[in-house]
Amino acid sequence: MQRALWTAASGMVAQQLNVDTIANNLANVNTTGFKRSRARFQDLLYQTLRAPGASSSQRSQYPAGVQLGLGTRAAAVEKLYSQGDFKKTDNSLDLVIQGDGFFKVTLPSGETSYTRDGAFALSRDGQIVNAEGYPLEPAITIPQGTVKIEVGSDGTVTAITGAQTSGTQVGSIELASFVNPSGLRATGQNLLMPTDASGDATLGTPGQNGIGALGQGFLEVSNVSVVNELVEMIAAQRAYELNSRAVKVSDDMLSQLNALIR
Amino acid sequence: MDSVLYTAASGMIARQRDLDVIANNLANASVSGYRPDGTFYEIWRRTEGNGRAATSARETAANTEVHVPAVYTLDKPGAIVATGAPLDLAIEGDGWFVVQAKSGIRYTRGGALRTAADGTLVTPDGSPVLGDAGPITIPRGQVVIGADGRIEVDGAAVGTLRIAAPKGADLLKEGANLYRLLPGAGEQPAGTDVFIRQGSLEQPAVSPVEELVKLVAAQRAFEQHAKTVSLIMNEIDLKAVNEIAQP
Repeated sequence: MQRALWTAASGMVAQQLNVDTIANNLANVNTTGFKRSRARFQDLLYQTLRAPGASSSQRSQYPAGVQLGLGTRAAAVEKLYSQGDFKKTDNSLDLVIQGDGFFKVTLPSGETSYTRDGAFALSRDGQIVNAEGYPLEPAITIPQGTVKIEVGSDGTVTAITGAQTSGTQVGSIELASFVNPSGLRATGQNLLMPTDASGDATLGTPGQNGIGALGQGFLEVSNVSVVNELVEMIAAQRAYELNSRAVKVSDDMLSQLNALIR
Repeated sequence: MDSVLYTAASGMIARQRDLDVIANNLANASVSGYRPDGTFYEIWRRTEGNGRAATSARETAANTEVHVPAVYTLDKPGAIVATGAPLDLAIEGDGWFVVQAKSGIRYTRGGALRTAADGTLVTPDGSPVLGDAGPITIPRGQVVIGADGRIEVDGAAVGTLRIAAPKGADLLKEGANLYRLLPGAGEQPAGTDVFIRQGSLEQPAVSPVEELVKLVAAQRAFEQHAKTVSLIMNEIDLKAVNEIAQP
């Protein structure tokens, strides 16, 4: 059968994956702390019909062999951890990380998960939790009667009650960082889990040892650029079309072959 | 049998091979640093059994076959496009990244690199990218890569990328965006006119227009050959058998 048929099909499958990735990026254009993904492709194996350097006569060699490529495949869909823009919200529990680092939250299962989404709130017990209600780690409880919460750039959380002016420190936020954040596994709900590829989390104080400082009253919006995604989408669509042309031509050739014998 | 039949058949086979190559170029139209392939044609002349040369133009044409003796890789770079990712590297000029693959030293122009769990700089499928002193470990921090391939993290030098300049004709595609050297060929260090661009990627050098034109040309040529075969088999030979051979 025609090699080209399968080769072109692999190209179409690859572009589908590309569009899937772009569509997910666009769908999350307003998701706090979302990092865009990018599909990476590689060429497949090459079938060598004639090795380069084979003799064309007793005294000469072919300058190149006949190597036929068999298509393409997805090598990786990776997240790109560039900084998103900051949006001012004035909410005292909206936090941004200015640089590398992840917030830690404790899942109901007891495992630690990581996120860039800094939209926190208080539970009814006064604990700082994320939008799903998972507590920040290490757990910080704001005492009753607090009128103002202040989060320093180094992560110290200070609660000011009505009578006080200076407030009391009730805990400090610790951030985690990874050597290879692209290796983190996205589990939905803006959460990421460590894998063998990401390495173990390094814990640290915000603003120190390369971990970003915290900012209060801001949220990090997603780093998806709509213009870029649309351009990528057009490129993917056209590449899909081109590959389908190759399928069509391949099919036409086969049908002509079939029509040879009447 | 009519030798024109073989001439036409050789043309059809050559055009199918052409299509294989074009389809692979199109399939890889999203592979960073991919370089498209092209086909060489060669005309073979059949000599008659006694070795005499053809005596007329018609005989020459009938004794001709087309073959594809070689597929070559175009030695031309793709456009460099900014992506903003710190470990996306593009090479401007004639140079290649050196990769320590499982099967040995390999070369690539695909610069979408990342770090492994232990901080080693690797290709998307995890093979270390070599520096002047072997694999490079990148600690956490702000990575700055200079045009000369010097890597600095938070101001401290951690290594220099090894950029090689093997001759294009000495490289053989292996898949996974990697190339290997032909036996006997060597790698020279890249010249001074080769620059690393951080935060950019080399686009595949596939030209959709060129590939589409080649696709149409291959399709139409195949059609012509098919017509020739059909004419000989269904009109001339059939008539010869059914009509001339009638008693």
